[in-house]
Amino acid sequence: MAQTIYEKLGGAPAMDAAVDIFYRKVLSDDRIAHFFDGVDMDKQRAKQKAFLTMAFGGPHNYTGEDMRTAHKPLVDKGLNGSHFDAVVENLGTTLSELGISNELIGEVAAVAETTRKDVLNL
Amino acid sequence: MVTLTYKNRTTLLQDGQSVLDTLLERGEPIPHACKQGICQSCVLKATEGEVPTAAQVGLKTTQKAQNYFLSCLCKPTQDLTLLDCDDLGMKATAYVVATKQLTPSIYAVWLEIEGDFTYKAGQYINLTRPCDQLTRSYSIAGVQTSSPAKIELHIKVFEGGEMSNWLSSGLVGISRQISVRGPMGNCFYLPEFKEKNMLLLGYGTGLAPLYGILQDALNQGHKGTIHLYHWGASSDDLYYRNEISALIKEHPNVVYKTGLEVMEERGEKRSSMSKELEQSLSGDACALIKEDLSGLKDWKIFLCGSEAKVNKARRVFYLAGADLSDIYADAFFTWQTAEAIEKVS
Repeated sequence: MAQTIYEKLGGAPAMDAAVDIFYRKVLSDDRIAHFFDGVDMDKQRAKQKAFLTMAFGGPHNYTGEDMRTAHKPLVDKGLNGSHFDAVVENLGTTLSELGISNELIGEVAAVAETTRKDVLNL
Repeated sequence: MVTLTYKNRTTLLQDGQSVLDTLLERGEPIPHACKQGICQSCVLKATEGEVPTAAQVGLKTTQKAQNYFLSCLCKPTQDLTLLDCDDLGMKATAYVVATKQLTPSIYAVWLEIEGDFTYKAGQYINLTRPCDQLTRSYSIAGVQTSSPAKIELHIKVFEGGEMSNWLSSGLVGISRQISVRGPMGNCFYLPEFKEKNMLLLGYGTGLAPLYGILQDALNQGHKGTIHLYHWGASSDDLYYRNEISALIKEHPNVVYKTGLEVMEERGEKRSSMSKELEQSLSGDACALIKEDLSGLKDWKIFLCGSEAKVNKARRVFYLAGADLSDIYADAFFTWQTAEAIEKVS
């Protein structure tokens, strides 16, 4: 069986570095940063880690329903497809910086894409 | 045989089972999600027994020091007694023993607590007035280690603020008896911070926990540099200048700056201000700090003030290179915001 990106990056310990790069990018991105105003950053970081673990093919317990409920208030504040794209873009640049090939980045983006409907409450 | 005691009931742990699963099986509604030590929603606190370090991965140093652990990863080898980590801990009776007005709206209030009550300066306690159960949280600004120990609090008195007016009225002793719960919070000093550089940023009475942390650090011979920034909305918020200047006099590794978000008009108020206050800076504290301190990686950062201020500062310093697990924050609500929230909801 082919290695997942999660395994390629080095499993759980490597996730912290990836989450850190990713979260800093997201918070610095004017297109989406305002959605994170006032959130508990410690908890948010933990959620980002769970999300990336899933997107990288690692173990996870995410359900579509969790994603829906969690993002509903943001959708009410105007979260739409362009914001979703911005997050996926940040995910891509994070992985580039970690030396992941474009092919694998495409795979991660495809996994992330499967959450689009639930995240945007479509 | 390892047992778990939680909510006064003891349960036998099955071989290889986690604390979380054991308690869930018993029907305890412990919040949880990932069951892999990622989401940190199942954190509990051990009051007795040793927690395996593997069950503390990713927690803040000050949480580990209080025996917080991830119950999903915890397979203990000895008996544990557990609490929810938002459990308010110890309960004690205290009396106001002294008060002192520091500025027109800020008072120092000293409490004497009966019996054993262990805490670290910088943590916070809940005070409940016996006559009507009115409850407010205050940070512990410092400790006089005479016996019995006196706890110092800094209290902003609001017009119509029931607890703040009651505590600072000047009355002491039996008429100012109060019950104390706690301590809570992760904002305090640990010996392992000794060599680290520390940034302390407090808004208004957010200085209180920082003043406690600063005293603790200096008492323990802190070696790294300490940058203390005390910021206010008006000059009335900037108290304790002399006390802090005296405290840090023999400590060249401490840099202390005060400032106002917006410079006050050079009117009557300004001319009546002390010379020291005129040395205050003005502007956005976070922006100034970023100019002063290049790169915050490996710094221990303590942020105290209103929730909005603390959240903003946390984000700014995280993006300036600090690790989130190195940022310790104590955000407080004023009774006004609490009331506003009640009205909205």
